[in-house]
Amino acid sequence: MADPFAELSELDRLIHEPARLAILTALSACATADFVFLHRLTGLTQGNLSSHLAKLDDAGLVAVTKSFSGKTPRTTVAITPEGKRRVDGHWDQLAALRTRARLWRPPTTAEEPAT
Amino acid sequence: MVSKDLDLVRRVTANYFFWQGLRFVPFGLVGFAIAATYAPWWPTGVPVEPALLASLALAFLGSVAADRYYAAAFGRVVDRTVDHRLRSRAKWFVAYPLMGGSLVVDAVVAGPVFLSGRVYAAALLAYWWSTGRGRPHYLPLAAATALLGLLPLLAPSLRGEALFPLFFAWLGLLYVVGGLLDHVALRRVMAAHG
Repeated sequence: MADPFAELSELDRLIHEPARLAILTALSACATADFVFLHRLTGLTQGNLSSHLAKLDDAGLVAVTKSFSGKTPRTTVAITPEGKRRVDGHWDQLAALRTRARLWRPPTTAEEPAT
Repeated sequence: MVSKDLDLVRRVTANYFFWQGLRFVPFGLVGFAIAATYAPWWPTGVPVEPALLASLALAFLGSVAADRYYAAAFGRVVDRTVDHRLRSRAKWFVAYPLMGGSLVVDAVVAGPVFLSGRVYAAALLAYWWSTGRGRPHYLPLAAATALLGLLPLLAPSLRGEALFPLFFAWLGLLYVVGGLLDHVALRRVMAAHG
């Protein structure tokens, strides 16, 4: 069996980064969430959250909408169909990796090539 | 952030409305008002409707205030209605008819076991299960509700409608206690990740 840990390097880093994975996980569970919610839920600073959202927006994984509620600016974020597809695929990939890692056994000495 | 945390993130986001406990606290007033109208000290001839309408109006106003507080403090989330369709149908077509029906049965039969205790306990568990779990206080609250239904076994004078004042007061208390503890749970999740 191939070493499953080698496959970790093949994970989509744009999604697998913990903060972005948390953002995408939250957004995949709702229609839209505003900036305040994501800020409070993830615990990221406003600057960090903005930076991660910009990266996800540039990649087409989320759609950011800026509007005003009275005089208060409001930023609303939604996951795109492509973002949903990619984050679901990522979770499937992680689940498959976890299963393979459970079954994986280190190669025995008999299987090692002779020197 | 481990996958257990991410699962909590997903469940809280998907059920954010139900975790905003302060929304539900004012509806305890309605339970207390119904309890009062069934109480033996409620003056004869005094209509119950104004009291019930006033409690509903106050509860609604309180809930609107809570909505504004949550939007400012924790932000807004728009649900995906498709995720709540099954729960909503089960609520309207199964839970509510059973809850109403059990009260009618208890009023008519007035047996040694108050059926509504078990039915409302089951409804409470279903509510907890279908709204993201993670708020363990609903388990003891449901158990206490079921136990309340056994009260007529100990006190036969509390059979049927005689238990209604206590039962509705308990439901009012459930809204207050459950709502406050939901709020604490939400704050804890936000603080843990904040």
